[in-house]
Amino acid sequence: MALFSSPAILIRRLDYGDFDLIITFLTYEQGKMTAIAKSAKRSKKRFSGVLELFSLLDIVVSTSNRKGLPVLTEASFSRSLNHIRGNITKTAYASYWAELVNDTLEEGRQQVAVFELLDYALKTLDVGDIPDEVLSILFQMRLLTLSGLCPNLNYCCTCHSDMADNNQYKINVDLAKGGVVCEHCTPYSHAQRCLARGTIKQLQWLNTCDLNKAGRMRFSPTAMRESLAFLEAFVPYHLGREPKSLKFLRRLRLQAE
Amino acid sequence: MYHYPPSVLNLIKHLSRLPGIGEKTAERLAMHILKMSRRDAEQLSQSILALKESIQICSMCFALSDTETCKICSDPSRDASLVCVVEQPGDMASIEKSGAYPGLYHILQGVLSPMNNIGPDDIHIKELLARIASGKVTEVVLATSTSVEGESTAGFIAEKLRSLPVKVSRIASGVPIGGDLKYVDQVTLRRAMETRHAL
Ligand SMILES: [Zn+2]
Ligand SMILES: [Zn+2]
Repeated sequence: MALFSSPAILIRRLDYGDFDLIITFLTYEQGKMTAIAKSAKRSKKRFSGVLELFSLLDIVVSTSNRKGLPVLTEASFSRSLNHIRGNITKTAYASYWAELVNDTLEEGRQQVAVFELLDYALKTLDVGDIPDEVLSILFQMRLLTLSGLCPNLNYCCTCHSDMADNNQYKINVDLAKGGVVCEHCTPYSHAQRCLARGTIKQLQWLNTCDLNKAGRMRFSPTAMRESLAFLEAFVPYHLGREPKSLKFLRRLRLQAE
Repeated sequence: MYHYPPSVLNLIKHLSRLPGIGEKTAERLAMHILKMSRRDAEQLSQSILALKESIQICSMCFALSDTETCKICSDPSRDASLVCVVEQPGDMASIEKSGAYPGLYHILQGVLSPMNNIGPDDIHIKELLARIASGKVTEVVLATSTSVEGESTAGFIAEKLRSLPVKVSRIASGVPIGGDLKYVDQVTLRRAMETRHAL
């Protein structure tokens, strides 16, 4: 039996039978890891209620050579999130990000940059000093980049002409080609997905800026809508399916209108 | 195991599908049923069938009931100005056991859950709002679990109730974070209900 310990963010929680939980963590040391927490639902003493979605925990997991999931033996709060709990919109964004991480990462491969990104995004979402939508734009751009799927916003996906030389106000986006296309390759039409030049600059800045400065970014309502619409189409397209939390988020926004 | 005749194996198979029952326990239960009198065995099988045939959902609170309105909703001694919102019938049972609550219930039959795409229209929130808008209720106690999703559901409902003339309170702390009401002890639950706080 080997013991493994690491800081970990709880990204998924499933009931298993009456008393146990199956939990997926994004650990600092070994990336994504799924473990079973025995008697977690019944016994208060065992994990004293720390096994909450999005919490940053210090965990100890026992792995053995026998088949079956690793067993969670200890867990304690490193940080709990007090404002995400109680707020359905924040919970929906956090769920979406956690679901994306769960869907894009392989088990057992260390991914420190993804861990740091999710940790930053959840912490900032909880404090609330950056609008939830801007954080979600930042999170999606950076996760795509870390997964090697960053949308190409620099040059035309078809003829490779440099977009810096392009003076169109609206630039077309081709999801299948993975980024922007110039007006010669695809003439602009309203039916098509497009981004304003200014919006593209903002997306690029959020993708590379020092995270401590991300709060300085101000999106106009149009740029915000455009960016979210683009990323929330780009991500499912390249994932091959629409995450459930994203469907939920769309329904929630419709209700709020 | 396989030396049993098919009728016994069949019973073991069905029993072992029940939660918390492994094959060993199922085998022991099957042996026990084998030794029962014919009458006892008949009563057991009939009570299972009767459950499936007579159970319905209370038209007011969505609790399990044998009649159109459940026992609690039709009890004149219950305080109809007080409605306690819970996720599941089991949570209502826990609160009833604690004996600290004189009012009626509203069972959501679920909790808002982004990761499962369970939205406001998928649980009985609309019905709750209609019930409150109809006027008799003066206080709503939100007793959803203390998990992230339970808290968010409570927050969402509190927001929706803001425009209505009711007092909204949340079951008090003491219920551990991440707590499933089913597993909270009676004393804690009674205290949590008595010291609920306004939202
Ligand atoms: Zn081109
Ligand atoms: Zn009822």
